Amino acid sequence: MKWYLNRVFPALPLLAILAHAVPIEKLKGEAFSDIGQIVKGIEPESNKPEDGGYLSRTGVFISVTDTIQQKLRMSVGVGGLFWQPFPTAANMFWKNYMQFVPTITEASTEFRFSEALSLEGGYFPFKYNHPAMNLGEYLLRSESYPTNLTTGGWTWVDSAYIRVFGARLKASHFDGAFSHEAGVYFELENAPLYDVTPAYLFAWRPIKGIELGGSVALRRWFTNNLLVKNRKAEVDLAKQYVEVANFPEVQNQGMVNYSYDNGGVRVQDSAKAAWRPGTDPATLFQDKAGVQVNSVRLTQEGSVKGMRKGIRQFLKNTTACDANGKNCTPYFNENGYLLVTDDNGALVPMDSVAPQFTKFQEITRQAVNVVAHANIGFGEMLGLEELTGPFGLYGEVAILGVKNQPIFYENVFNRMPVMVGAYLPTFGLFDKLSVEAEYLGNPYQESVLSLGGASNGPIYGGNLPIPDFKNSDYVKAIMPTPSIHGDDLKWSVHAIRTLVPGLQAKVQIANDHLRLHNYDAMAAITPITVERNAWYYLFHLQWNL
Amino acid sequence: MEPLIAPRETALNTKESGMKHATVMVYGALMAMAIVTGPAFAERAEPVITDRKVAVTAFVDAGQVAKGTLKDGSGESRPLEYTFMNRNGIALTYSGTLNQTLHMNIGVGGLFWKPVPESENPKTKHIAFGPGISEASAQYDFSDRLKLKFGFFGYKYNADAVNLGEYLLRSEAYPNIIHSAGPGGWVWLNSNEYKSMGVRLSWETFGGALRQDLLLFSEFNETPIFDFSPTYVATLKVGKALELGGGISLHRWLPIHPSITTPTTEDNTYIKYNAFPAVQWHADMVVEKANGTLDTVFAAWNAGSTFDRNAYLAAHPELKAVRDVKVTQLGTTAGVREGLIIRNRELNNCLEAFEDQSCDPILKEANQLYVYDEAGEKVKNAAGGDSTLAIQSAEEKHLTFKGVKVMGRASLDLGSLFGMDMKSGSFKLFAEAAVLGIQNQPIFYQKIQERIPMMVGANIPTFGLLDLLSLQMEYFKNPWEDNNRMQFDKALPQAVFPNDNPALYQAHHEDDVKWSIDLQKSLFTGLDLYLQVANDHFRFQDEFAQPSYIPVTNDKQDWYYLVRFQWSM
Repeated sequence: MKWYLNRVFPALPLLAILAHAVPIEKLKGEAFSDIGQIVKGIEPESNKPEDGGYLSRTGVFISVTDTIQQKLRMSVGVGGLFWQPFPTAANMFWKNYMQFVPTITEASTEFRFSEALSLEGGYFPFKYNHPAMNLGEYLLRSESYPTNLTTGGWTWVDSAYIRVFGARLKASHFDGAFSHEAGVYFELENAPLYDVTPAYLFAWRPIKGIELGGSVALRRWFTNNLLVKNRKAEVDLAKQYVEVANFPEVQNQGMVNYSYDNGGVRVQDSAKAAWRPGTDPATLFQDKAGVQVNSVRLTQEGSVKGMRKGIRQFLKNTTACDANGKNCTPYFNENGYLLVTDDNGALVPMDSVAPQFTKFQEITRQAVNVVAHANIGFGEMLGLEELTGPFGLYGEVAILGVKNQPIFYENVFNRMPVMVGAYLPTFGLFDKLSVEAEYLGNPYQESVLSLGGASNGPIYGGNLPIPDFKNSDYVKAIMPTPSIHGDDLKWSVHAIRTLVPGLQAKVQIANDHLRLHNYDAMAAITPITVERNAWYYLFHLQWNL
Repeated sequence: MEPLIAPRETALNTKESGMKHATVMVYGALMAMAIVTGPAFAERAEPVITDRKVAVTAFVDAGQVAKGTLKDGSGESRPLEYTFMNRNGIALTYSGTLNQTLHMNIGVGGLFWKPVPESENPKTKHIAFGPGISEASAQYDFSDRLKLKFGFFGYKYNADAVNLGEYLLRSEAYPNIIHSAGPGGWVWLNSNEYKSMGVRLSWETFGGALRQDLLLFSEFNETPIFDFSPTYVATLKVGKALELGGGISLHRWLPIHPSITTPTTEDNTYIKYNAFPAVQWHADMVVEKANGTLDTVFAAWNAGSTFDRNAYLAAHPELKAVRDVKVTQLGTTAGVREGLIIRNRELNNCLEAFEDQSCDPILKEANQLYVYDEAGEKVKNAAGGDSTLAIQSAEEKHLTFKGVKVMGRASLDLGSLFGMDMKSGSFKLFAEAAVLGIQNQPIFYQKIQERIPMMVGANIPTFGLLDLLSLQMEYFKNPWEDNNRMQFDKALPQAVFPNDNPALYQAHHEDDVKWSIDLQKSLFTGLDLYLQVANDHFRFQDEFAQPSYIPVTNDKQDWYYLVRFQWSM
């Protein structure tokens, strides 16, 4: 889409409202003040504990909604909030002083063809799992490759939704018992921006108090980011899975820990070494008596001559070294040709061949997300809500990318977040008290460095559909296989209490995906609550007019 | 939630996190109280909203710095004469009352502003736009006399103070910094109040004659950000004509980061020794050579003596005269020595007087002296390192931003006394004085009378010509320049020594007197004209929105004028 259309489209409802006199009763105002504390957390920039960090934001929103001739509903909202960059540094203006971020909260219009059919377009809140207070809402509030979840954002409390820019056709049937919608949404959160995601959602309420829902999103199915000009040849090797039929024999390389006899004394030693695949590294130390290899830490996995598969970046890093693991020569020469090895695994001088790729697959950001959610409102079902307050169970499960992709994404269960929650009866103490827990067995670091478009040191380019490794990992010949599970379990407790009409107090205690913004208004690449025992709390005072 | 207690902080009885927890816990306790004591299932009926309105205000400011200077706080300066001043802004406020008890103001706004000074950076050559929240507050009326307001809002206790004054909240204690203009210095006129996030509990008694405000504001503009200051302000009306006021502010007594509010680093630790070695005087001298050219040379002489120009010239026959002597190190005889640890560690003695050679540091650490032999060489220990001698400190203390500020004010409505009607215009005398930190602190803050700003003013009746003509004058006998560079850049509660060198200190009294003349005139219903001519605490923002360390009007003869057209609906 042309850039000017992106600007013009959300402004259309605004123009319509300007042309239409709006009664003051249609105006809504909201202000809030957050105060809280990171009880235990890790500051992403320094990777150091940030226990006791102070959290505070103050914001206002003003919006207006009006309907013309009972057909055309229009909503426009603006606002902003005061925030302090994180991490703070008291002696640096940029990292210390209060900043203000303005925003459009909504710029949408909806045409109602009938009571049961409408078309909505513009920039508007998108939420399908209504009981979810903090976690969940995975369909669009996530990335699939790499797998990444989101909570909060600029507003920390009561923000289990996403604002989307797009259009949707909504319909309901059977007196509202079944509703569904189909829409297309432009990506506004993570690069590459403006990718288009079509999505379909339905919700079925068979009886009072029960809702079952499902949805599918073709994440980033249409992209206008393919035509990147002047792309360098070495670009994005880290996202290319290849199978090479004529790969030379590749050495095993690594650190060998061994012991040997030295005049009757057993001596422990270690050495960097390179040895042919299928051979025993103990044979490398024939000058020592009674050598016994205790362990080997591989830095390069050997393979016999012929087919070799893997991520191209890591194949490119393979080298042939001398027996001591030194004086190494890359198997790929600087022209991208493969060196040739003889029957003994030694490099043939001055000989190289073009690699024969029998398979070439680009890892993609495109994904098919499917989500199912269910809500059981016991209070509503049993007619107890007046007495107990909201009382029920709800849950959501998603597959963020139903299709496996080589190497990085080979287990669909690693991309399957599950959220369960409960509204607890408080018999009037709170308007709502919810407890939520989430599990996602993702073995990779929950990081948006690649998503954010930053280039990863040794690899060129950004916006990569791969998990974030350390920069030093990309120069290795063996791909790291992290197993980071300290952040698999998330939880959130959320309480709301109306103090007087128009004034609400809310409390949120959580270990979720809270990412704080730095002095450049960029969200941190990893959540502050990245570890299992991390948590924070927030008091939120909100008044509405 | 274990507080972080570094060993040195423990030794000096300062904790990092204790108060921070307290701050949030206080807020949490208030919330918990509200939740528990509030009505169960607060009325679910749709609230009745009255007084609903949208107010829009816009203004255009234009003016000129007639005479002024922009100083970078460390010695560099550039004249700003005739610099054009302009800001244009709007504010939109949506307000209403719910169920007659909960009053809300929700406002957004923004202004166009020009960074000053202009430099090679293209950003300084463009008009910038700064959006913001003009107000985000709610007030709950427990009764007609007891009201609780919270959120982000402005607070003003001295209605007469049009530009100067309002010291209790609109100031820093250590260092003594006074602000004029609106919060953060963004709105130049008609905004003489303190604005921040906080809570105000107001209680009126004796038929409104006595109003007491209990305030808890969180700092939004000055380092350390977010510190809370519990404050009490009372206003008493005596008869029709006299109003008295007073207040006390426990400035930054609930710090968010205690180690920032009271830094424990060597650059913020005062130390006093009773048995310190002798320290030489050092100076940079401007000398005239025999050929008439000028040069700058170093000189050193022993403490207890004065610089002997004749002896120096006799020892240097190539020189004709000593034109100037600028002391760079203050000498002291053996015995008492005090100062910041970091400054003491910069002290050194030079072997040969009058020569810039072989200068040896005196302190290795705050409590370790280097040992020198008779030849002036450092004595080595058995391990080959420098030998040291322990030296005890007699006193050690951290400077702090925390302070107790008190304020008193009075206003006499002469117009009311003389029975003048409203058409004559306001005719008042008023005054305000404050102590910005009743406690002395070492080095910078040793005399309380140097922390007492005083403001006197008068509203002059114009008999219909103007709505208001206000004259204000301020006197603040502060020997330090009105410079917040240490607070802003280094987060230290200190005044600024030139080049951070105590020896270069000179009392600065050019900015002790401030004045302001303000005129207001309603031109038409909704359209107002303002004029301000002043030498006050006005600061410009640069391209990064960082305010200047020192007011533009820092000298006696500096002044500027501003005209504002403001319209509201």
